[in-house]
Amino acid sequence: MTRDTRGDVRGVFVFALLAALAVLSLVIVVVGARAYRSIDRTAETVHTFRTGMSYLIGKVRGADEEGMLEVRSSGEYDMLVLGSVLDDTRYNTYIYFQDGAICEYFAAADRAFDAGYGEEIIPVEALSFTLKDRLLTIALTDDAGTEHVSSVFLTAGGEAEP
Amino acid sequence: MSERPLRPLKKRGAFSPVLWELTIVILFFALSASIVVQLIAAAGSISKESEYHSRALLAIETVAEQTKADPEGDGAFDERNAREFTVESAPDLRVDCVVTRDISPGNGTLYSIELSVTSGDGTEYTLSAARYVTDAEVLP
Repeated sequence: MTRDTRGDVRGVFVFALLAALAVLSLVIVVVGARAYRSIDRTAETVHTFRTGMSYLIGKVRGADEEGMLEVRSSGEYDMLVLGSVLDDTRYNTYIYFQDGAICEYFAAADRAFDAGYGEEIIPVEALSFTLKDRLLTIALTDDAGTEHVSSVFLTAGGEAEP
Repeated sequence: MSERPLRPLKKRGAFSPVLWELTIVILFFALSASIVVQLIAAAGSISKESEYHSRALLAIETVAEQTKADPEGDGAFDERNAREFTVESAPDLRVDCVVTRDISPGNGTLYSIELSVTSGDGTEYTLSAARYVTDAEVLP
């Protein structure tokens, strides 16, 4: 093998090594990015339904008294109305779905419900409540379109008088 | 004029220093890449496990609440005063439930509810619940 030929082979080998380094780097970055996206999506989904459900179930448990819980329809809103009494005045917490989010509105019971004053709690795609006997069922749809359903058995409260 | 004897040309090594350096870089890169890939795979696995855990917890709590609402269910209690059933919340999520009825407490019945979910990798999630129903209370 002449010196020129040997030099060419060495050049090709160096190039091949550099190319391998570049391709493998790219593969690692792409695989890492995909894995990160997948993990992030999963975490987001879990956060939505876990946090959303925990929030709703916690609220329901807190209001689990006779005559303090009601599933109500008001115009375009299906809402969960949770009552509480402070200084002999009854207040209602309205939980409903509006503009892609769970919203909460707290007001005195004698004031009319106004969805515009609601505070956005967590973004979701859909939310619905069903109360049958003493079993409240909450259906929540996350950003990915997956519906998560959870039920709460009301130990003290049934449906309040509308 | 002195004559110097001719010496043979010094033979160069098959690998130049540049090639050695590149080879070491590639090896180091391969080692780092294998560690990174393992970390990525582990992170993905933990993420999936966490997601399954959350879904399992939600499903198991839901079945517990539904069972508390109607502990008699179809009423198919065996001679041990127990009834077993399975709820399929998702294709990969089955909640096994055992309801045991104890009619000995005065003026009522105590229902003990044992729920479990077994994941694909064999991890078992369990939850216990109970409901006491007085004789005066009429179950739906």
